[in-house]
Amino acid sequence: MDHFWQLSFGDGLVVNANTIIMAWAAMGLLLLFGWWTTRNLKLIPSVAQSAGEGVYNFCRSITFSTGGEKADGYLFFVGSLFLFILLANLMGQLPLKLFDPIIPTGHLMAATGDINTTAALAIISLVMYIALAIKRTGIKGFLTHHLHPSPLFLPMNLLEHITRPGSLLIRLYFNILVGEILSGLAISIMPYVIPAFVVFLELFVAVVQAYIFAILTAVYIALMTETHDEH
Amino acid sequence: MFDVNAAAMLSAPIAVGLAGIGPAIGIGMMASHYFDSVARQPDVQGAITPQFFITLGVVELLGLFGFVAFYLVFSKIFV
Repeated sequence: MDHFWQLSFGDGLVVNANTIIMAWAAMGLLLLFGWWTTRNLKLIPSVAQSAGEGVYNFCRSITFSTGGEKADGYLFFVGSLFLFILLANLMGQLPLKLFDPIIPTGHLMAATGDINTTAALAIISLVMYIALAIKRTGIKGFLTHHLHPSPLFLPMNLLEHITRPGSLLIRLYFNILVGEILSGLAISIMPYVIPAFVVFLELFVAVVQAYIFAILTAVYIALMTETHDEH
Repeated sequence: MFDVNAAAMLSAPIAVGLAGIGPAIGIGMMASHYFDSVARQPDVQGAITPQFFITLGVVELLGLFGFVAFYLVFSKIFV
């Protein structure tokens, strides 16, 4: 991909500077948003505090719809995952050509349009749901979860630990990559009107993909942390 | 005369097109039933919308596998 601006150090170590710039910009914007919305908390909220509360309520609705009250324990994780992916996806649609002297070819692509970012996010979510399962149900509960419907399901239950993060990473990566390729194609066909429709489609896709990633992570955590004597 | 590159270039769009059929039908049926049930009982919208999006993500992944094949073939040809 000529979108990538790659730096090579020594032999074998390649850094995707594009991804690093966009990911750190997204993180910085999120930090700024958090600081701006929680600067002086009051009972009667200011505009900034209302915005922050709206975002918090939406993130809570994601975990609450899957895990109920118990899910508040991992709201911080699912919420930050959602906000980071949302911002990183949306930033891919900005026409960031400003850095042209620094970046030789192409425009700055979304951080989630790089398989390394999405793989990292998927692995974090895998580690998180295993850790939460061990914390809430104990080692024994976690291990016996694999034998749950019947011991015959053991291979499938073990395979799920590969297919769940794998499907998370493939879904997010290829959705964003398709969007980037599509907008590049639209710009090469006609740079004035056609890309607008693609950008609208991609804004929708960005929100839906962030929501799906967060809600699937919440579902996986809720599935792993449930105890089997409840049902 | 059989050109491997031409065959590969033909195969990639065909993979995308064929892979799109199933998810398109699936998402269409899912959305139509979603709208039916919301129109019949508007109260349940809050309860089933998250489930709708979970299923949307699962179904949509199947369509992306066609693009995975496309991407693999084209990155082999043009690199």
